[in-house]
Amino acid sequence: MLCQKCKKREATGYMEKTVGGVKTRVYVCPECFKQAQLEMFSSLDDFGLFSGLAGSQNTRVKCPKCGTTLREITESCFVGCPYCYTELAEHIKPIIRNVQSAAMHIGSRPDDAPNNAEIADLEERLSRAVASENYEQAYKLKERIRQLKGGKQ
Amino acid sequence: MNTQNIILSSRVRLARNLADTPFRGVNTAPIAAKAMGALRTIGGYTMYPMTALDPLEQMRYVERHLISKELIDSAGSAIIRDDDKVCVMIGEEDHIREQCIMSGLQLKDAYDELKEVDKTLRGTFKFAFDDVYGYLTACLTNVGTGMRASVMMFLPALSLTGSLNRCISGVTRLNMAVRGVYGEGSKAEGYVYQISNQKTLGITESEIVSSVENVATRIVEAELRAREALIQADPAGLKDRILRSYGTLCNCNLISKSEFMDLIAFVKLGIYYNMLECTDWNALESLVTRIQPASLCLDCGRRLDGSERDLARASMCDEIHTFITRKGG
Ligand SMILES: [Zn+2]
Ligand SMILES: [Zn+2]
Repeated sequence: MLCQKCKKREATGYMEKTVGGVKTRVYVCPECFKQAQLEMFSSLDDFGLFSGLAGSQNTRVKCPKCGTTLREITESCFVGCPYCYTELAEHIKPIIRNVQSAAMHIGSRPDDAPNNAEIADLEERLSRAVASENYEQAYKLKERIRQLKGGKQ
Repeated sequence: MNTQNIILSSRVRLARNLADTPFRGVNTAPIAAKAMGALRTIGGYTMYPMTALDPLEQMRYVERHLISKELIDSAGSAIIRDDDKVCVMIGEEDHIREQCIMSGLQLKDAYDELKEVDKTLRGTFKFAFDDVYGYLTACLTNVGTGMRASVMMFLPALSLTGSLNRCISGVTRLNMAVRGVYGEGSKAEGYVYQISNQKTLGITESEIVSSVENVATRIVEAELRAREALIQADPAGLKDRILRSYGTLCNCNLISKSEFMDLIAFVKLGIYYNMLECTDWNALESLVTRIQPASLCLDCGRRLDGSERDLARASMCDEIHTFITRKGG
């Protein structure tokens, strides 16, 4: 199979790309794979990655507080106000995941309290592990939670 | 190992925004006044509203790496601590950007300094914070910790041996960004680069500090190896280029900024290889700032055109021989 990027060399593998919430495979040669990896890491300014999201419907989705449209956000990566994060939560979540390869803040808090977000996430995973009788996983999660709760005192 | 002269400076920046307030289109002057009032209680700070500064003075702060060009464009304010190590920018991309700059590799110390500043401002403002996304910022690339930790590095040998690109792709794979500090576009003047973290969410502040520190340390090692390779490849040729660079800097009448940046890089290499001796490294570093266009004009007390600047820059170079001399042999 021919590489779908350069259409010159033989494809030896594929990359997974999520466009508009849909996962697609792009078959590429080693050269193009390397190039794509570099581009992805070197420039967070390249938001072509999200252009698939910027459909016409996204001009109608907007933050009720500041009026910034989802399209503006996907194209620029800039939001208009703190409420954009909560009002457009379901739309913003995948963009943040793409930009940050993370979904949750685990750093410091303004109130200097231990970061409960990380602990809460672990506890939720723990209850799921227990429900599905995955005791080995549950043990590991319990240990990590204990560390976090003890370690930040 | 002398990392001081390879890692020129460390900087930590925290992005903060006021709760319930749009990121753009707000009058930030009252925020600046309130921040100034709070910071006054913890040290000697001075506020500089951009609108009160002459364009040359604005640019001088950019050349000294204290403020960003964006702050000028947005007509915000800078609140600068008297030792020039801490600068709080109000009304840039985010309402508040706290930053601390220190010489050499001191990211941890810089972050510790900022903690006090952040705590003070936290007592004055209610920051936009979300339990899931952390500190909310105007750009999604800063959300979470709002933290950017960076080091400014002098990497001539990696550039001259052609191994810089390999080094950069290795660094970018670790989620770090590399950019030239001087010059426009891709051409980095003076072989000075800034390395910073990309990721701000799902990582703790101390993890960011240590990851940038680790990468910087590895780049220092690579640069030192490249310096070894460079001198071994052509010792006579390199020494010639270094001494000619020194000679030209000390004996010119007109010199452009880009030529100066190139020659001073070779002079610094000459100091590293012990071909030249430097008695005052701070004077050398401050000269690099003083020959930048706006700083140069302010030093001369008036706006200068291009060739007038080249003339003034060359005369400033006359002092180089007072702190850098040729070693015997
Ligand atoms: Zn290809
Ligand atoms: Zn909004």
